[in-house]
Amino acid sequence: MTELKTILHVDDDEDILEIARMALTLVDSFDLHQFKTGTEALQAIETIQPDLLLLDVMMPNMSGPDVWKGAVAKLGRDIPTIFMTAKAEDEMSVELKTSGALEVITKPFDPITLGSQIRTVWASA
Amino acid sequence: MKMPNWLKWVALVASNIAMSLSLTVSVANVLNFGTRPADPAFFGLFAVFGCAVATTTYFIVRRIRRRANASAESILLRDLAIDLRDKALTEHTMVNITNLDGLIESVNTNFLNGFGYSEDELIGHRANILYGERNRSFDGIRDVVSRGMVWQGQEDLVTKTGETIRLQTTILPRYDEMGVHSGSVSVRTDLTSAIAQGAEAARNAIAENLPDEIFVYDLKTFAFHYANAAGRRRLSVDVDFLSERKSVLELLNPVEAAQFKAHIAPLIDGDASVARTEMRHRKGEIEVTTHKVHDITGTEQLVSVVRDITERKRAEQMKLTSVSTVSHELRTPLTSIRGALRLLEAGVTGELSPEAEKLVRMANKNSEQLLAIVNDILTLQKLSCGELSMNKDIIDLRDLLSEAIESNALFARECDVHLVLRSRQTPAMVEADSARLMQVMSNLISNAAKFSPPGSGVELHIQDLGDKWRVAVSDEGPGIPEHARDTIFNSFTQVEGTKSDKHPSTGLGLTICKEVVRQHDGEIGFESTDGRGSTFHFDLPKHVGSAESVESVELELPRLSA
Repeated sequence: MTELKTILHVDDDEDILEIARMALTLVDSFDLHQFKTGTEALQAIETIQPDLLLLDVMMPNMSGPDVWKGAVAKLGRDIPTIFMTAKAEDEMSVELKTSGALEVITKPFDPITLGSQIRTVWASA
Repeated sequence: MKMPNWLKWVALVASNIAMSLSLTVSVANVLNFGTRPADPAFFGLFAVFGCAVATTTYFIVRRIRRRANASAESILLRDLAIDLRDKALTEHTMVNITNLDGLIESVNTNFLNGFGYSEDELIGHRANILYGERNRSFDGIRDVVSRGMVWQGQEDLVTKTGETIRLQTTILPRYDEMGVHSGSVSVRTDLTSAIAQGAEAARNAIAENLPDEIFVYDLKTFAFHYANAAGRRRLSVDVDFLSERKSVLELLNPVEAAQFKAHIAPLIDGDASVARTEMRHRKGEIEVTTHKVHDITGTEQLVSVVRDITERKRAEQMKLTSVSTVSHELRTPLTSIRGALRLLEAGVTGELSPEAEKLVRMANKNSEQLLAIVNDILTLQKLSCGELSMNKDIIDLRDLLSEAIESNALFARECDVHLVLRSRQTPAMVEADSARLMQVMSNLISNAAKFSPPGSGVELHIQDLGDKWRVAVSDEGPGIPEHARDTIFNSFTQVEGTKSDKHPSTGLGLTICKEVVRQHDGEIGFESTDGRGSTFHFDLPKHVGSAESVESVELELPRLSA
């Protein structure tokens, strides 16, 4: 697989967006594009052409899986996707993995190791 | 000329009176004939008498004639009615006539149709061929009828093909012109089809009005044969649609069709005769149970019973939601708190002053503790709700203990404690969820390690208790004080004076252990002597039928992990 550079991150929690921004741009050095809603993310996705989606599962209006589906439709191709969820041992996590998600990371995540965690998943995919 | 009835009678009575009077007078005159000359009044009276006689005669004759006419007419009508009645009887029922010997003399078409015989096969044969071998009532009935009585009742008779039919029967004795008993006439109505139709109608009415939805359709074409009222409501079709013989697939959207195909696949491809699946329909969650059946003609059909489980699912979902909402609501802010503290602690935002670093470390440690409590509460809640499903497999407890040693080695080293495995040579099989049991092992090992004096050992054993296996974790710690022994498995119980800053506890660990063991039909307990350590153990039923060596020699395999 090619090198992982551009990540599109969607989470409805601004604080978590901020933590993730520091984790992925300060601790690590990704080209990170963040959005508070799936709608905004999908509007920009064709321009951004991300290598990977990092999506919160539970969001109002448009859920993480919906954003994933929308992204595949917009890009016209499969896109590697990692989900984040605050629900541990959730049925949804199992469902997401079986339907092709690379990984489901449980919150709280460790910002110091988040970048390397994503790179490991990317490399093994 | 029409005369009112009453006038006729008045005339008749009047003429009779007149006739009697004139007769009396005439007789008197005749008796006096010699003494007196003929009186003109005599002739007058005679004339009146004659008229009266004539009138009376006229009416009498007329009346007789009319009566005769009327009775001829009614006889004619009556004969017609009898003819009709006979015809109706013949059309409606099975009629046969037998002679004194019980031989059949004549039968109607209904009789032949009902029993499936030709006329030649019956005429001249004894009627008892209709009674089958097991039916002994034939002679009894003949006896009743031969005594001139009518026999009535229900009979089970046998057709030519051997099928039993239920009949309502009346058998009358028959007499010849001389009034001599000459046999019998039997009239029978077939009740079999009426009973069957009644039963079928009743069954259909039950099926039609069930709240569960019933669909009957062809195994190959999926063409609908039947859908009850509830079923038609789901498909939004009326009763006429059944005649269109539409395929099930035409009434499902692509997602539903895919689920449906997957559901019936084992019935079509495999040997399965019944399949049960929960699926999503656009009108809600449904549970579909499908049976493979043969109809009367032997054609294979599928019968699906669909139950709306939307409400049940909603209730289940609500229960789950409450747990997962708490989980989500607590873990989301914790993500930001812990994330922020970790970034600060790691110096991502720049160097911290020693005092600030101390504060951040403290906040970080406590947030970690808070998260552990949240996780434990959720685990416990899920366990007690039965929401944490146990994925039980047949496992060897020896493997469980080896893995437990490996995964807790780091923690043991931090506590300056070494873990010792005293395993067995032979397998110790149980049916258990190894991940959950590992949680129990980790809890017991970490508790033991926490309270052990530095440099001491924590031992893990497997013991044979007959029908159970015991897993025990022993330490050389201070033991459980007397006053704490009764409540040690309760939630948020921590033995006084054991709070450790280095290794904080949620106070829920042993409660979780107890619950997990309970869900494995096991028991958890401990032995403790003040100042001389404790042994926590749990007993699990042995897995019956698992391979086990006859000799169960215990072999001690001391192993240092750290």
